[in-house]
Amino acid sequence: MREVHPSRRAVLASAGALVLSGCLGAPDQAEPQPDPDLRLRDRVAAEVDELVRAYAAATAAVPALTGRLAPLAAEHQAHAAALRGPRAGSSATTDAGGSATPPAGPAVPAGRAATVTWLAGLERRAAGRRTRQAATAGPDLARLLASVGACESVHAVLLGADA
Amino acid sequence: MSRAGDRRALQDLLGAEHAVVYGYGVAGARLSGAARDRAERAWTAHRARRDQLVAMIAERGGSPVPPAASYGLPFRVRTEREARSLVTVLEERLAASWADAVAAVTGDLRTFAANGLTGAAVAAARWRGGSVPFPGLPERQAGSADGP
Repeated sequence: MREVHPSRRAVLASAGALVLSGCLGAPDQAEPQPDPDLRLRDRVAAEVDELVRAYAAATAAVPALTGRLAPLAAEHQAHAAALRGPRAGSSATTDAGGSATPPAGPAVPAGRAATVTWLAGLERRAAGRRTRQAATAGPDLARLLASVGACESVHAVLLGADA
Repeated sequence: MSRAGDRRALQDLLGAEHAVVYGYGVAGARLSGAARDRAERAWTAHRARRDQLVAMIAERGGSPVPPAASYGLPFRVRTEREARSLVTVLEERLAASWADAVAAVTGDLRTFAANGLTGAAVAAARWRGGSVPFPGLPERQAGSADGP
């Protein structure tokens, strides 16, 4: 370390302080700007909720698939939670111990194989939407959406092999 | 995103693909039967992806990073099981590189990176025999495969 560095650090630190004071000043300016990513997060979380409902409906229609589908459904629930973040949010599907009347579930095609194929199709289409949604998001959300979409593609492949 | 930023992201991906091509070479020698065939197909696919990245970097005026002479492996590979674990870990790490690229670039390049992430995630899931909730996001893995 040489003498030059501390002064450079000092310059950077003061620049950081300026940025910080700028941030602290922002909330005073009334009208909070809605974060465009926030709306996208909510929209995608609602789509993921629909996938969770589809899994619940599939499991209700073909109970023998429960062991196979439960881990995949749990991953979708993790996606919805990650998308909503730590905000005190209300998940549309906290199900599992749902004593309340569940929302009308999607129509599940008859038969085990048809059910699995149907879910694989839902996963594939969801993954395609994630890629398009990632293209419009800020960097951090794009990374999360791409990961969620990759997981949905994996599900489609795993279900496809099982059909 | 800036041209230089795109180049940097592509160079990072190229470095990651070089390492995976090397790793499949090591693992393939310990695999047999269907697993060996799958490893050979993956090796070919990763080489094609590597060549694609080389071309993309050159198109953007960059000098593609060369492969290292050898790469440190996360653990010794003596058995078929260890070889499967190695390629699983390699694909997981590669998925993380593609995920980082998604955040670093925009537009068509971001879609390219998202597809790359999906490819690595599917390969990792096949080797692992199951899925993880957040492929490519190590900070969200509960306990990802670090060894056999």
